[in-house]
Amino acid sequence: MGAVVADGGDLEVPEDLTPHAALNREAWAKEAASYVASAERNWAKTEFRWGILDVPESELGLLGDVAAKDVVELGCGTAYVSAWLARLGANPVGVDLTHEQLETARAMQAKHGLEFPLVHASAEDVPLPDASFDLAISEYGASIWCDPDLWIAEAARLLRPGGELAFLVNGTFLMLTTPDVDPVVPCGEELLRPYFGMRRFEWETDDGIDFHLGYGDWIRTLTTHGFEVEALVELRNPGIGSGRYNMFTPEWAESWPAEEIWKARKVA
Amino acid sequence: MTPAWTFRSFHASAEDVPLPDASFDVVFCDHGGMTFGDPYRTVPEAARLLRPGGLFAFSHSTPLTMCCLSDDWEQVERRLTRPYFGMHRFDELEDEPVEFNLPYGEWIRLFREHGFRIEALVEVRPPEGAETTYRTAEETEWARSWPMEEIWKCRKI
Repeated sequence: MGAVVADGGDLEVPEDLTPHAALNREAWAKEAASYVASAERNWAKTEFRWGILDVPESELGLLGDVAAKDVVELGCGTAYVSAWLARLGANPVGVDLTHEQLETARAMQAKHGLEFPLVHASAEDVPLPDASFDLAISEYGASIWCDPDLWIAEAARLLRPGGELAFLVNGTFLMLTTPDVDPVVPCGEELLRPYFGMRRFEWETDDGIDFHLGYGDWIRTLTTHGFEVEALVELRNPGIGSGRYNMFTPEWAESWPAEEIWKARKVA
Repeated sequence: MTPAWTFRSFHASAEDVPLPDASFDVVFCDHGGMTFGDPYRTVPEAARLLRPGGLFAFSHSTPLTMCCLSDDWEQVERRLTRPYFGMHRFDELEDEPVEFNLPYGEWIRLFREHGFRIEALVEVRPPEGAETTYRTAEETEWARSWPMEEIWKCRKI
């Protein structure tokens, strides 16, 4: 990637952000400071763990051997997932919309002596070449903050034939039951909003815009953009709640899926 | 003359079908064996009966519906009434058929395990004013907001 990504700095290109991406950049610029502590914590972890539920990748085996694989993390935030992958021998590139988050990522790289390219761009329009990655990954990144048709199309473009896509999102059951109040309270059992038509969400609690699809719409989006669906892993980790996010209790997450991971492969 | 629409029928369980391997282009079911049979036995049977490239399509109740049934199964509620994880066999009602369903991710895992490519999951939304003799007006209203039935479409690789 050396020829493509300038060393030691963001790759800056003229941009034409979608309206929600412009809003999300602003929202995340304000949020970034409050994610420094979790960046410290996550960079210090020695093991790849999925989601708030903290499920070890070694238990799920979703990614297989990533050694020597070219990986793009779409919506990397502070890039701790890329850091974990780098330690497993992969060659990650982190892409994020928010300069302030990448600043934290850069500070963590310096602190841990672990360098990899960081690209300041929207995952809906990535300034990287076609067919240049073996794995595209997103954990609460592009997977929830970008328009699914736009970022899945970009993932398909960036991947080599046979390349893998893995992304973690909030559970669909959680999206149906989470109240829209400020401050956040854990989801309950009542269905608070319709499933049909779910896609673009705006919330009382933040200025950002996020995207969530139902099961059939994810399958349609993935297949439309040339992916074959390989797995939907619904995370469950007894005793683990949502901590500071306060989105779900451990009891709720024992019965219903609070987080789910889609895995797909670009058709060769 | 034999009418063109005659077809053979077999008295058997979808879990154990007395027909040869790779003998069909389509295996389908509409609220039938894929509801009342155990998917850990019916999905492999569908895979066995299909020729390579064959289509497997079936409609059934959604896992979400199964999580929202009232205790007596008479209504679908606007809340989660029972757990999703571990969903498999529903046999709590006396004198009623046993039903089966699985979490969405487990259906996908099972299809893949038996050599299916997943082509679509169509979540059926009744049009405004739709009527059915199977469900109450309240339930049809529920089904306008949340998927009550769905169609899986898979292709035998």
